[in-house]
Amino acid sequence: MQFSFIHPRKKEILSAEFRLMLFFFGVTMTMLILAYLFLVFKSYAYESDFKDSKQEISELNLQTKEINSDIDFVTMQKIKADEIFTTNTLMRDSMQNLFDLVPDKITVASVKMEKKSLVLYGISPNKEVYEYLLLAPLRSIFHHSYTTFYTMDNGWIHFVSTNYLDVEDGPK
Amino acid sequence: MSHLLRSRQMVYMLSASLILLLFVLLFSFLLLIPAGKDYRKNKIEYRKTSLELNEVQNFYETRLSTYKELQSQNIHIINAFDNTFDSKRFLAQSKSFFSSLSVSDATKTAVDGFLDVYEVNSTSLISSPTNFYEFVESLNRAESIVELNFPISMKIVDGGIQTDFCMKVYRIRELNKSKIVSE
Repeated sequence: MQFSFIHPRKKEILSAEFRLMLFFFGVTMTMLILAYLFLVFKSYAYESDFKDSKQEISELNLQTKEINSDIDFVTMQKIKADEIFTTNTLMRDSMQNLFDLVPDKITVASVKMEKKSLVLYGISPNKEVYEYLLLAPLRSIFHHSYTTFYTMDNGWIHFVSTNYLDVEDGPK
Repeated sequence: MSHLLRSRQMVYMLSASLILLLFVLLFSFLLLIPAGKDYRKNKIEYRKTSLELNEVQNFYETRLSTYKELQSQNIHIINAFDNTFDSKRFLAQSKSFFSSLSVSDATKTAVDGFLDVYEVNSTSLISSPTNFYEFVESLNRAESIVELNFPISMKIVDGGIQTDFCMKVYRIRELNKSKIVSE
């Protein structure tokens, strides 16, 4: 016996439209959760990189400080070495100038150089030659010059020339 | 009957929409927005630090290259200040300037800033003052930092000029470098 001309439709609790809507809702929620996870992960990554960078900055600052200290130390050594090298060069030039001062007619037998004084022992044909050719240039260098003469048997003179610079001042 | 079913579906849909709306609002305000703020804050801080790191790195590299350049230009001085004065080596290196040369052992006499100062006395025989000038010039190339010092005496003797002189040898004090620099 048949009561209807159509077949009965299968009844469903959730309609197709509702299921489709739930699917899109699910997609929306998943996207929101993924966006949240992305933000949390990236935020953590930035924070971690930030801490690493801070640590690196601190280490680099420390190393820079050490290098600055090394630079200062090498600079100090260079300045001191330059002073010493200049002193050596000046000493050499002073000695060279001193020996250049001595004329051929005068023979210097002995020289004693101190920081502020010079003592010369030598032989000169006579007093005038000594005074004109050696004492005059010595007086232009030193503040005080004293000379003692001894006459030798052959008529030449033996001289001891003592020359001083004032303690406070350098050469004239 | 169909109308009833349809209205039930509408209730489901409305309920689901309300739940979604509630979820979106709660999720956004409680989690997503604070996470976004944290992300933004951390990103800005990282970028700032990154810029600072670049500057510090560049400065470090500049200082390092300055140091290396300075070190390579002054390698002789640095080594010479580190070397201990060896009288035998000094004699061997300087004997060409003298007919004879003898030097005493280095005796520590003073401290000059970051340096220990040693004194060395020397007696020599030279054939001409020129040899002595050359010797003094060679001191600036010696293995140690050596300074010619007073008193210097020269006397004509048989066979040449007897020269007595004093030298100061400088050596870096055995101290912590940073302490030396701060001094």
